[in-house]
Amino acid sequence: MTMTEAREVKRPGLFNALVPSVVSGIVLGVIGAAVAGYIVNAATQGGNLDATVAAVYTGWLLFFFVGIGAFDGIVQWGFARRELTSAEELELAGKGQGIWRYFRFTTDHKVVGIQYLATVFVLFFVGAIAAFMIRLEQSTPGAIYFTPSTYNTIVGMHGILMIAAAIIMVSGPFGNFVVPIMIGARDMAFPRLNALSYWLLFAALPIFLSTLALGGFQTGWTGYAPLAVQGLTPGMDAYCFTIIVFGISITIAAMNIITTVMVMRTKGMTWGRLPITVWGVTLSVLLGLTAFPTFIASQIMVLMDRIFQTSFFAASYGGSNWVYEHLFWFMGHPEVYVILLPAMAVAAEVSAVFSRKPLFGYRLLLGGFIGITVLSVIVWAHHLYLSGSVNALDGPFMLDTELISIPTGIIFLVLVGTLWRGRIWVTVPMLFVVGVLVNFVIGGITGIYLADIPTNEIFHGGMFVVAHFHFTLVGASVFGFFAGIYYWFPKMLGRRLDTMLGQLHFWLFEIGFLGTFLSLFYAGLLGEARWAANIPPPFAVPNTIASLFAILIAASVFTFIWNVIITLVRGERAVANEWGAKTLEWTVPTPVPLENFEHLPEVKSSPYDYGSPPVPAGDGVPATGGGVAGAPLQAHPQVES
Amino acid sequence: MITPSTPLEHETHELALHIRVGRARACSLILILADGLSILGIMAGGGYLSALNTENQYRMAGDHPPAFVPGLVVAISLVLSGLAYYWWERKVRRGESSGQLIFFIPAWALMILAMVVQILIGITLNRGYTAPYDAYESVITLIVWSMALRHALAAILGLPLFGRIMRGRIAGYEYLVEASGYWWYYTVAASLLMWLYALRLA
Repeated sequence: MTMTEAREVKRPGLFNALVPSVVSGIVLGVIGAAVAGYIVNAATQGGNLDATVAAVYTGWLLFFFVGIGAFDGIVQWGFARRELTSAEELELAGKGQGIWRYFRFTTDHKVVGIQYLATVFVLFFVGAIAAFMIRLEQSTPGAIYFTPSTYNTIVGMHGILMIAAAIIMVSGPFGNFVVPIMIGARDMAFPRLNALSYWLLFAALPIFLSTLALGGFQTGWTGYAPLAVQGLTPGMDAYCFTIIVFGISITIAAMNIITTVMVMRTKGMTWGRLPITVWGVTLSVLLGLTAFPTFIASQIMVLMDRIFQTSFFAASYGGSNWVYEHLFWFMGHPEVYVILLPAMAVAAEVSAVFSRKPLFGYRLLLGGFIGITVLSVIVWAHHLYLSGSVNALDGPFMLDTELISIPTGIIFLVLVGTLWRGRIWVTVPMLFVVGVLVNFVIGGITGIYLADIPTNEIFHGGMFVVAHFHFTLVGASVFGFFAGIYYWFPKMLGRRLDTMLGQLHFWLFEIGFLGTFLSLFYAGLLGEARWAANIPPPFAVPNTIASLFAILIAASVFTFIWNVIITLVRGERAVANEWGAKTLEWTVPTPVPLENFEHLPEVKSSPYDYGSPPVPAGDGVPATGGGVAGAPLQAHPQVES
Repeated sequence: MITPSTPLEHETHELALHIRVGRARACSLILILADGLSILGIMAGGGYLSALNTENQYRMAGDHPPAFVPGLVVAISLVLSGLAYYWWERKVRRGESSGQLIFFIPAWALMILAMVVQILIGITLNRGYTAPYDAYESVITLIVWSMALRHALAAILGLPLFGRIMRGRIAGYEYLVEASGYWWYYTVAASLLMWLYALRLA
């Protein structure tokens, strides 16, 4: 032990454990919120509730991050006499802190990945509860269980929680945990910013949930102005603040992931040898980076209208709702591809592994992803066909929207081609990939009808749209997420999920999902409008059927939760290479050590070279181990220079 | 509790220089991209409102743009700040450890001056406007205060840079000065652009 390290050894204790941590963050955050709210309330003499609420949220955020130690890094970077030692960096990464590392500002990408995973589960669960409340209300005609105002808030909360969860569900857990290992790195490019991006998300959750105590918000998940600036209650402020904080979190995470993939790839990991998951996540966050700034700007404008009485959206003072719609949907459409791309990439990854075949057209698939990334930025006004805006551009936007079905179709072709004549291993991840294919056909084809202006005029604002986006976002993207969960769970948490429960989860989910949303397609064809608590009698039958099938979805959710719980408590321990896959994350031990690799690997082949003879290893290279015998790995260790 | 490092942990502690340089540049450029898009969104929104002139209420008689002379002071301060930063950066790249503060302090001080004057512009602007503000006043208010925010961010960035200079931790970390410079120059350029845009809207 050196002199420096002797000085670094600190005495453990309860105080050191709690400070800094999420506990001190919450305590200080609450104090900061109260103080800031008190000051602004006094300054405005209680006459501007929105300003007070904004001050409370700002105080919460600033002091939460002080309490959790997020600013320590900046102080050290600027004012310390020396750089951090390796011991100090490893302490930041959670070395020797046991389970407490998940409740601190821990920089290890694997910890951040697990934190994201837990948060995604919570968001999905709460969003699912809201969904079941919606289906309950819509199971029979009449606004029986909730007032229309409460129903609107439930629908809006369901929407924004699920959208937020879907945005981060692949890039958060897998982008953080798996991607650095996949590219042969020891961590993300910016470990502290990685932790910051997660804790921003965490800090946004109480802000969002406070809307329930502030009267809720009536606009639905889109937060449309001018309704957003007209609310009598400050619940809308919670929505706006949540979006701003969430957008900043996404921006930081996107910057981190892109930089990591650009500069941290190991020797031999060329762009053409990157696992498709890495491409999907990287393109997704790149798209998010370009999409979210306008969303943040729109929410700042809404807050300004609410707090300072500006008039960006009020027509009587020269504002226009079209400004909001354009700013929102400029984000809103790329956002669905932010959700879709990583999920499809995971489906492709899984399909190659469990077909024991190379991806059918790696570069074709990549071209499809890039095509979607580029085209998705120029189609947003198909959400505004009936708004009265952009009449002259309706045609070009319709064309662009239809064009995007080409790269999407290519993705579908690659997935099917990968399975074609493969040695299919029917695992639970593979079941979910099949579910992706089935659901995405339906979701994609119905999108064509919505892309075309004549049919859009009929379907706009109806349940047909709701069913369409559920088939694409849930049927394709969430199913892709579950494929990834069952695939990487052994590596991330060291245990195998129960196969039978996984199969039960899949079938309950798929049958329930198809029954629910095919019924809603029918309701949409009949002319049912969306966002209505009171179902008129002509639409009662399909809604009742949908609600009955939703019970199966609920059963699937609890099946999955039960599977996770019993696996964590007494599940079978996983081996290092559970599936005999070839990507780098399967070359490291389970559980993954803090530094990921003992020696950084050198990549010598494609990640999907199933059926190819193994690449000759160098001297001293251990034999491949774990999982299916004889599966040659993508890389071999090299002595780190 | 911090436990002593193993030899492997010592070995893995230092990233190669080219990785540190690459990540610093990428971080700065990507954040500039994101922020630049938000500025474009604001400008597009403002231009759209101007073109729509909904119910002929976009701009009323008596609506005035921000005061020109203080805006000019801000613009000049920013340009000089950018130039001073550039000279500081050049000094760092040449490995000249002495006299860095001669260029850095003016760069930082001018940025702070720009921020203070911009805040004063905002305060006097809003005293001249009457709530509820029309669309033109709303756009000008947003532009003025978002410029102030960007100046503040750059000024805050100057603080840890100053700390590193005082601690002698710039040598060997020239890439940090370069990457920070990207953000500094971007702040100057974006602020000038938004100032000209606000004048154009008038």
